[in-house]
Amino acid sequence: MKKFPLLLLLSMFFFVSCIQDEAPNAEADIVSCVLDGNVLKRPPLIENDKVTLVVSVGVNAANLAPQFELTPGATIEPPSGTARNFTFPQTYTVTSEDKKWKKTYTVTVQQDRSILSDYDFEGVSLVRVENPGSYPYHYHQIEEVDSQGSTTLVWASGNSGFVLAAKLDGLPDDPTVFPTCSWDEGRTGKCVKLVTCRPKASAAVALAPIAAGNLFTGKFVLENINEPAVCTHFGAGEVFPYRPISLEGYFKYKAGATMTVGTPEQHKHDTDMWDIYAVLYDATKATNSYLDGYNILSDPSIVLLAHLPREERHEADDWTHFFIEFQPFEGGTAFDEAKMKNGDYNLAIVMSSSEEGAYFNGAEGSTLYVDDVKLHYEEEEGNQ
Amino acid sequence: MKKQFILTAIALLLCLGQAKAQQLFHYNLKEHHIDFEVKAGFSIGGTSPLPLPEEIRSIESYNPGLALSLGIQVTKWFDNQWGFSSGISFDNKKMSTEARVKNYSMELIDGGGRIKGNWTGLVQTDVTNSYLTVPVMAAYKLSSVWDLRFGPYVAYLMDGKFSGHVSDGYLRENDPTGQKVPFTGDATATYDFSDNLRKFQWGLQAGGSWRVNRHFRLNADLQWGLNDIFEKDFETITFSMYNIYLNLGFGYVF
Repeated sequence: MKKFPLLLLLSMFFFVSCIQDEAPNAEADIVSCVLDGNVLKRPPLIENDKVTLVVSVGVNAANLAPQFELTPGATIEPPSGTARNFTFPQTYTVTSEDKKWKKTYTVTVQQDRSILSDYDFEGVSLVRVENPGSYPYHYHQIEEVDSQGSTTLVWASGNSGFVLAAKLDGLPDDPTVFPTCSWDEGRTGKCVKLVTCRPKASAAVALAPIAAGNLFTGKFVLENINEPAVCTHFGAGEVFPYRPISLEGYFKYKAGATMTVGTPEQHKHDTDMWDIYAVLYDATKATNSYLDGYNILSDPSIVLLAHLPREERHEADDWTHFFIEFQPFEGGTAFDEAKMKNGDYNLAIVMSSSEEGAYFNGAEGSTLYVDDVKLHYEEEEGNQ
Repeated sequence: MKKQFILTAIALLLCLGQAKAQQLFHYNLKEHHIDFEVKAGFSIGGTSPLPLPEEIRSIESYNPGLALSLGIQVTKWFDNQWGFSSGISFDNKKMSTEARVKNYSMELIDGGGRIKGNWTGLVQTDVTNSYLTVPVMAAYKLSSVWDLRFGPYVAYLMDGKFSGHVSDGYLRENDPTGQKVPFTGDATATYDFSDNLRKFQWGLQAGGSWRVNRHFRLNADLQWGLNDIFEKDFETITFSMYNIYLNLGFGYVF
């Protein structure tokens, strides 16, 4: 039996000694992006195949030369540092170090965008998700479109994170099985429909016991599969150089029957309830220049908050009006007109079919419809 | 003669404690130059790709677990040196490993659907397979205390589990350019390829025995699987994996 530890050692050595040389990287990501001359107003917003650069007012977008940091070993075409005209989006192709994979990015420069005050949820595009060996999935991306038909705002939602649950559950390819979708029976035209879903497959449940429908201005970046609160980058890149006054709109709501509580310590109410709020915050003070599901209603960088009180949220079968005024936020940052004009403030508009959805608390089937949302703000001194 | 032999064997099994029957059995076997051995032992080894593919960057942990085996081995000696050895055994082949991988083809299967992609991070693998194994080997007497044996074996999977979970890393959905799905902190996802295990296995076995006394022997047998443990049409794991286990134990020779 003396031989035994020796054999164990030998076998371990056998396995360890067989580790091969590392293969060249197969990924083709833009990791970060810089622009010379301190012209970026916010950190670059990088998604899987999109980069949004928010630049200061007065910057000449017709001649910008972004420099990219890529997955080690990857190359980009046109090369990093090439001057291009960003008055419209430009595409770049990144090739992986092993040369086997290519990814095309759309890089958009966002500047002086006309601020929207009417949100009617009329625009919708289908996002296709490949699903090798099976049918692809499509989900809705809700957009605002102007009278010329061009997109003025892309609403963010958690749909891209729900794809995994949909695949594991073997759900049909139908955009309305996703928590956030466009709905034809709006108050006027289309509206947005948010539904709290409950995955059925055990792995999907382990990742997310419930998925509340949500819609917000900003970006959804899948940072951690079982922590949706860090994935919602509320108001990210949404520079708002005016003073908001109020938010109004219409809703219909039906709460699901049974609450699922994924995070008991964040559980406050036994019945599910929808939620809507708009938050003006100082992006220069907020961590990462945006707020997330953990601090959107509590961060000290908040300047003004419009949050519909719980008693004014309720179930409604017919379209019901809501109206919320922006109030200074206690424990937040005092409103500063100079900072506002300098473009330091971001505005986030957030709605959800379950108020504790970020913590996996909600009732399956809770359904919220929202339409014809209007934002009122002071465009100029004394002019509303 | 044959009948008497079988009857004796049955008698032995019925009243194992009876020294008389045992002695009779012993003399019968001796007369026919047959070693009849009841073996018990444990297996230590791995279910592993060979060589390790470039996707595996490091082995973080390895635990053989307690994999017991029980069987009988019959050796018929033709002369003073050569014989033929066979038998049947019930073998557990177990291991748990944790490996750090890069760009490793993975498929999370659950409920009605699946997520495919390329995983970079930790992969915990738990293998617990039970096989009925029949070796067919040549036996060679090296000395009065040492026996050696070598030959092929076939095995049938009675019960198999090949599962585990992934953590501390990220999945690129579908391919390396797909959406990044990070699993950080205590986020994990499970996988289970138990249903894709191949029922029939074959390989080579080489072993040796050391005679402690007239009845007791210490045994060491290496079983080296030569076909993939997974079914042919299973494509998620892009490389073949083989059972390579060393069985250590003792035997009682009647």
